[in-house]
Amino acid sequence: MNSIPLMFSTVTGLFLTAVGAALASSGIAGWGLFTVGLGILTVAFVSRATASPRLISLNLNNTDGAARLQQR
Amino acid sequence: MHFDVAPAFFLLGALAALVKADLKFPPSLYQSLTLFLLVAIGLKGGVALAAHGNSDVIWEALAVVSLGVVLPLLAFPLLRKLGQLGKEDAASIAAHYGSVSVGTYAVAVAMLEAFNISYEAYFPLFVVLLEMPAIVVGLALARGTGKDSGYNYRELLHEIFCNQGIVLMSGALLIGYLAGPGADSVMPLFGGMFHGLLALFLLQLGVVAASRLAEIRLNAPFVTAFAVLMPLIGATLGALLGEFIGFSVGGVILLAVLGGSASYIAVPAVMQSALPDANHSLSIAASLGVTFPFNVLVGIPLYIAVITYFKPVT
Repeated sequence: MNSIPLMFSTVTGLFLTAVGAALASSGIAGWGLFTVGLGILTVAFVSRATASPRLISLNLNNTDGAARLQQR
Repeated sequence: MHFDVAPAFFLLGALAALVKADLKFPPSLYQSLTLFLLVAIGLKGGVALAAHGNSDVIWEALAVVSLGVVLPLLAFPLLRKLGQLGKEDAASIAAHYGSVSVGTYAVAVAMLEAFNISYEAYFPLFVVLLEMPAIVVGLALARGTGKDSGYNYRELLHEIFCNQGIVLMSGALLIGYLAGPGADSVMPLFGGMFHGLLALFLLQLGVVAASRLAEIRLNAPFVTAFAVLMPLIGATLGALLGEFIGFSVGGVILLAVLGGSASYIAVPAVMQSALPDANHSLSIAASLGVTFPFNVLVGIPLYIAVITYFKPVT
C-alpha cells in the first residue's frame, strides 16, 4: 500500500489513542476511543509490516514477485 | 452500571457472523424493519413538530442543511490527497459521510431516552433534510454540474427525492404533523414497539456489518482510520452548530450524532445509479462495516459523555 495512506492511518491512530487516553484518564469518557485508536495503529503496523517484504522482492528484481504484484 | 441494550444486540449479531453461527433471518426482515424505523421516526417527529414547531425551525433547518454541504467538502480532499483515491470513489464516499444514517439516529434517540436526556422532538425533520445536500455536493465533486458531466438529471432527481428513506420519512413526518394528537391510534405500534424492533434491526445489522468488513481488506489502514476520524470531525462540527443554534443538550447530542453518521441506505442507491464506475463496495463497507459499529459502540456514548461534561443536563 502507498506510504501516504499508511502514514495517515498511523498518525490518526496515534492521535485517537492520545485523545482517548486523555478523555478516559480525566474521567470524561470511557476507554472506547483509546481502544479504537490502538486498533487503527495495529492495522497500520500490520499493513506496513506485510507491505515491506513485497517492496524488497521488487528491489531484487524478483520477476515472479513483480508479476504476482501486478496481477493483484 | 448502565447497560445499553441496543449496542448489545448489535454486538450479538456481529459476533454471530464472525463465528459463523447458524443465524438465519427471513430475507425481507431487514427491509421490513428499515421501513418500520423510517415511518416510526418520521411519525413521531411530525407529531412533535405539530405540537412544538414554530418559525425558528426554518432557520434551524437552514443551518442544519449547511452541515450537510460542508461535511462532504471536508471529506473529499482527505480522501483524494491522503487516501489517494480516484475522483469518483472519493466523491461517492464523501457523499456517504455528508449524509446521515437513520439507524444511528434511532440508536442515539434510544440512548438519550435511557439516560433521561430530553431533546427537540422534531429532529426527524433535520434527518430528512440532511439526507439530500451531501448527495448533490458529492455528484458535483465527481463530475461537476455542467452539460459535459454526463448525468441524467431527471433520473438523478427521481433517485434523490423518491428513494424510500426520503419518501417514507418525509411522508410520515407530514402525516404526523397533520394528524397531531390524532396519530395516537397508531402509536402503540410505532411508539410502543420502537425499542424492541430497533433491537431486532441492530441484531441483523450486526450480521451485515461484520460481513462487510472483509471488503475493505485492500485499503484497510486508510479506510478504517478515515471511517473513524471523519465521524469525529462531523460530530464536533455538529455539536458546535447545535450549540450555536441554541439546541438543548439532547439536541446538541443528536446533531453531533447526525454529523458523525454516514448513510448506508439512501446515498448508496443514488451513487450506484449516478456513478456506476465508482467502487461502491468500498463506500458501503466503510460506512456500514466501520462507521456504524464505531458510532453505536463507541461514538454515541462518547458524544453523550463529552457534551454533557461541557453542557451539563439541567
